[in-house]
Amino acid sequence: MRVLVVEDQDDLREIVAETLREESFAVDESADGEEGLYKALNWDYDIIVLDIMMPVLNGWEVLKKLRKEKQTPVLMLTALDQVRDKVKGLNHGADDYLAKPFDLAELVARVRAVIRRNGGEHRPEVTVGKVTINTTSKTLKVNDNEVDVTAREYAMAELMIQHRDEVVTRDFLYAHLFDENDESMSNMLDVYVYKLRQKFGKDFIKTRRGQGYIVEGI
Amino acid sequence: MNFFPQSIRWRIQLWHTLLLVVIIAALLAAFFQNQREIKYQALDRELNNPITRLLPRMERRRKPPPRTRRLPRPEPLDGFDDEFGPDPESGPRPRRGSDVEDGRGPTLDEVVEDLAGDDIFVIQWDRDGGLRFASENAPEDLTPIPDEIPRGGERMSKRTVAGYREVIHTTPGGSFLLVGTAIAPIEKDLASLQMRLVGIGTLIVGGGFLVGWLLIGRSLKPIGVMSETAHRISDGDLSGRIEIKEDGSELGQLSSVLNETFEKLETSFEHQVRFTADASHEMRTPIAVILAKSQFALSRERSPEKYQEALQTCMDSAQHMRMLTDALLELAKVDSGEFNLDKESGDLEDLTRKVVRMIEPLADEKKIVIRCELAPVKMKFDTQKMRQSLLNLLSNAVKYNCEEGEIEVVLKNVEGEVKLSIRDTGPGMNEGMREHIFERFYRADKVRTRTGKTGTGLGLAITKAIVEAHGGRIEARSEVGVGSIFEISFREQD
Repeated sequence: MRVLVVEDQDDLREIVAETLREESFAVDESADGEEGLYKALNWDYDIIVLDIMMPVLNGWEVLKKLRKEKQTPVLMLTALDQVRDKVKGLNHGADDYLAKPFDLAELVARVRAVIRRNGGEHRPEVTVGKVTINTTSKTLKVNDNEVDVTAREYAMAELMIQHRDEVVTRDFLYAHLFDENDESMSNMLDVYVYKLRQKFGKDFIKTRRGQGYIVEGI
Repeated sequence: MNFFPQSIRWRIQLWHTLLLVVIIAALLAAFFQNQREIKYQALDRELNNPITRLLPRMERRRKPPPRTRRLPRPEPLDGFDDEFGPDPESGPRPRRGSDVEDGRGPTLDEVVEDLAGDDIFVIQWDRDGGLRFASENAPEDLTPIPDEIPRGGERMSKRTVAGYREVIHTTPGGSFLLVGTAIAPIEKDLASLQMRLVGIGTLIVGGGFLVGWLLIGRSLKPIGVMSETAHRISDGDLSGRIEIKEDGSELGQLSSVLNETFEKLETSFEHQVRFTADASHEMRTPIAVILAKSQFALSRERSPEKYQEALQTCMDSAQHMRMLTDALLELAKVDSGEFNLDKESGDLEDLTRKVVRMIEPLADEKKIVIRCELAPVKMKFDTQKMRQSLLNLLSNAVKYNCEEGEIEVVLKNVEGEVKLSIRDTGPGMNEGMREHIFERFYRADKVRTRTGKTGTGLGLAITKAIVEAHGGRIEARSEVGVGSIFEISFREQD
């Protein structure tokens, strides 16, 4: 899952980004609205965490311009917490709203919930074949036995399961699993596919030659 | 218990109606009394008429008849005739002609009988109270002549007794002649008059009540409107204003005064709301940082460097908050009027030089050159606060300057006016920014907040308050791309 964090306050942006990375998101950062909008329009993020009071282009303007072209889920983050502002945010096409100061745990939970809802998934736990994923506890189980996975492996499994029964291209996987700072080495993806097959069985991810990969749901 | 109504409208209405009732009642009662008197006077005249006609006759009868015959005197007869004759009200008298003809005249009985019409009765007593004569229509239960009517002498008295109005005449001879009539018809007339008067009075009072109610309601309407508006405002809708219809009236003036008050209230409330919102917004960011950073640090085992970094971030935020709260406290003092200056005679040139020296290390970091052109100025000021404001302006000049820029500080005394100007070579402000630059939490530098530590957004507001507390003025001039000049000016004090 790839996230864009747009926040002008350096300390806060860094903490949010770092926390989300620890929660196995690929995170891009922007320190102002203009840059944030540019990134949002040019990459497909799973969610954008957007501050409102920002220099150059404020959160409302970013949201308005973004919505003309894209439906990327947006979680507004701001120090204004009057009901009026919340309503305004939601009416402008924001998917959720969080007032500063916030709990990091809540932020992460809301980010997950927005992504889940947007993928049409409302349950935190999904079972595909014998593999069960819990997006809240970030665990993967095979026949009720928990399997140890790294953050990247988990992220890939989550992305594949979310897009189950769809052919997922390698480009799509790159776009959603690695952030702007990752070296895009093409064989990294093959490594993760290999490891996931090792842990969940060869049939968990199937290769569609020339197209990409697919996880088949039941 | 208060039985008197609290509403002004009802009070005025009550007094007004009460007054109206008293006046109308008095007027109508006086009118009724007057009517009554007029009626009785007319009645008395009517009763008196027969007496004046009878008396001469009675006098004649009192005298012995032989004497009359012996000394025939036509004059009294003529007089008698005169008395009886020209009476158009009594109508034609059938016996008159014959009386005159036979020269004897009518007898007393005849006259009495003639006089006693349908309504009027005649009674005669002798001086001892013995009934001498009563006309047929005289009431059965005669009220005797009261003793207090003096016997003898020619007098007349009137009385109303047992439903009759009676005029009693005491003849010089001592007998009494009573002419009376039932007062029932008069009383009936009076009663109906009374009824009509009561009706008219009620109508007038009712009308007065209605007109009063409308007039009082009309004149009190602005008060109702005022109270309604005030209610709305006290309920939180500060935009309410009283609609003024009559500027000239006392209530119109009161309304416009109240409207002005509401206006001020609304403005200051808006300021307060915006200020509180801004202040809480400014406080939220450092709190969010502290909260998030500490939660992040504690969420799992971290390296000592990470903890250190987290603590550093928390400390920075806490310090920022301290700055903010100090500034807010200072502004609160300005607002509440507790912003006291500790003024002493001092050298402004000296203070300026010291502040410039304090700021030089900061300027050196950006390779900014500070040039001073300071004239000696002695004036009274609060050293600590003046230093704070100069420091503010100079650190802004550094913060918003470009690398290798310059700052020019000029202090001069021109024609009794002290002027201190600080010019920078920063990016400058456009007109929109310049207008708001002294407002609380306004930042013209939103673009540049990331370059270095952000301020509180209150520095210039506090500087302005300090300068104004010293009786001075502060102005900002700016040109985009060239730089800004902040100029403080004081009129020289004695």
